[in-house]
Amino acid sequence: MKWSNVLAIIIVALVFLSIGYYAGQLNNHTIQAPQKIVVTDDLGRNVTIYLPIKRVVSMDPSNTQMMYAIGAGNLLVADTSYDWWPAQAKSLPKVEMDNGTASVEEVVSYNPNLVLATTIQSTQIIDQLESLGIPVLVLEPNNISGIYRDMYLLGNITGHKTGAINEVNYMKSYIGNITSKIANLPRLRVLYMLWPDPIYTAGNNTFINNIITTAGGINVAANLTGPWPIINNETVLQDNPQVILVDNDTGISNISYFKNNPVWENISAVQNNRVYIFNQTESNWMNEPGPLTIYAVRMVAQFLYPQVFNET
Amino acid sequence: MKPKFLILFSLLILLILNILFSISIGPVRIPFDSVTSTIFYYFMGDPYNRIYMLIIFYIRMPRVFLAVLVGAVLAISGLITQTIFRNPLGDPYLTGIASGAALGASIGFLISPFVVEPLAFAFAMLAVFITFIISRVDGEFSPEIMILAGIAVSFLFSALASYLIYLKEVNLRGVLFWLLGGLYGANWNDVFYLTIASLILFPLILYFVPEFDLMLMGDEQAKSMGVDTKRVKLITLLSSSIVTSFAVSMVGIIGFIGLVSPHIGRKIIGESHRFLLPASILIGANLLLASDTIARSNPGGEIPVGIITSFVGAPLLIYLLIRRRFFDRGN
Repeated sequence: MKWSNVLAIIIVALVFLSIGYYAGQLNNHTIQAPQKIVVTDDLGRNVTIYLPIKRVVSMDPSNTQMMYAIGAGNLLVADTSYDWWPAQAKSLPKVEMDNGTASVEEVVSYNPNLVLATTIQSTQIIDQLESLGIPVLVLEPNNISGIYRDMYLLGNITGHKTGAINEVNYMKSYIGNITSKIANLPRLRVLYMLWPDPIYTAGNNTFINNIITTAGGINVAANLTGPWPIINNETVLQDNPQVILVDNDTGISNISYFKNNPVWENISAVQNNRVYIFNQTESNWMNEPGPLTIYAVRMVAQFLYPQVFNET
Repeated sequence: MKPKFLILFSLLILLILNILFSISIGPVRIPFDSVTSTIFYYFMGDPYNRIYMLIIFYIRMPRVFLAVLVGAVLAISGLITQTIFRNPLGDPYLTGIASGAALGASIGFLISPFVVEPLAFAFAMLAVFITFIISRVDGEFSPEIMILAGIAVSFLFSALASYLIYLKEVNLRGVLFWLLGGLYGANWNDVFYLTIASLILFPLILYFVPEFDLMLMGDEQAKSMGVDTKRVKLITLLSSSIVTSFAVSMVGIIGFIGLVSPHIGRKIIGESHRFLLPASILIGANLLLASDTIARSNPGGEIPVGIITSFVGAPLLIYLLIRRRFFDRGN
């Protein structure tokens, strides 16, 4: 064997080794690249998310509130003009909403690596964002345990696991404190009024129904179909609700709307002046599933059982 | 009795049975004998079931009578539009009433829920007047121009309404629910006012019944036979538009009844307006009442009536169209 041949073999071997080493380096590099995880959102969609999450755009106040509550608020780079809690949420840059629907261009301009949305956003917008490589999580819990699940989910993906656990525990004890006070009291029939004419209300599988039930009420519309059914006024007469909860959006400003009406004035809630008209903040508590839901539960429980909660 | 009178008489009997039936059913089950006994005891001053009384007298009865009246108004208005425009697609909203009412309602929801009805009425009438003014050519109202003018005015008013809904802080829920149309809020006042309006305006229309048959032959022909076409058009279209706007401001936009009732009438009683007009009124009243009873009796919550009207009316018209064809072939 000639020395030159030996040299050639050594060179070739070195070349292969260096290629292999480089390839190994390349491989190491891809392992250190953004970590991919797949999570399931409230629509049952499997969403691929790239960690770490750095920039989040929230397209709904309830999502913003959950982020702040678990301590991940600093990841938000933009939210909506409907956001009102906490105070910092109001000063974030805004994604302009036309009737609840955001502009894709505007969302993209904030360069988010996660967008939070509810079903108010059209599926086209969600699809468009996902096709641009921006994962969209649709978080719209329809009961209180759904809020806990979403908070855990946000905690896991943003690295605020402890924050989420603490917040959920706080909410659980807050609500437990209310439910233990009313546990032995008779449950009251409640009509929730989203709109007066026709009477739109909240059906069985809704977040509002869950709040009413948790606060000790029986939702008279729980047997109707669909999330936001119309309830006929003769059904209301028959069900004879003991408490009526009126959303701020109805435009009803006081109980006289019910008092001088041959049908309404025969209903227990109206006769006993137990019609409660929400102000804007109270309507928000009722309609935005998140950390503030505990106040909605407390508010409804107070309306139902003032004798127990007279200290506040 | 002549067969055409017999048909009208049957439609009337059908309406009476329909009313009795509708009063006795609803989402709350009240046995038929309880319905009759509650009504009987109420008038005799004997003790009655208070809840049943309220449901029957304050919820069902006004709603049933309002359905009858609105059905009649839409049908008569639809027939007049079809006759005067000589257009089978004529419906009561051809002169811009629906879009006008929608714009008025949107403005109303910007201000207060309590001005929605008057503003809906005012803007429906405004749309009608604009359509009329545009269509006045050489002192005469041209049907062709009026159809196009109605479309133009409709689109303009719809665009304005959409603009308000989309860009201003209009109560979106309110407008959407209002636009869907429905008789849910019916009360005795509505029934009373719509009855008064119908009593004033229907006779103005009925007065011209003999002229309607001649109008079908075209303006020139009708004129040559001594019909003051301009006067007929102005008075009948205007009266029907006023009463329709009034009904729309109360119950929102209920489609299809005005279009389909006169066609069903033609299929069963013929073209002569002496019979067609009362037949259309009775068919419209029956159709809307039946649809609304189905809509409100759904145990899972009320369904918007417009969905039911189409489900009831469309198959009926299709059946009549097909039956006529087979019948003609058979001869």
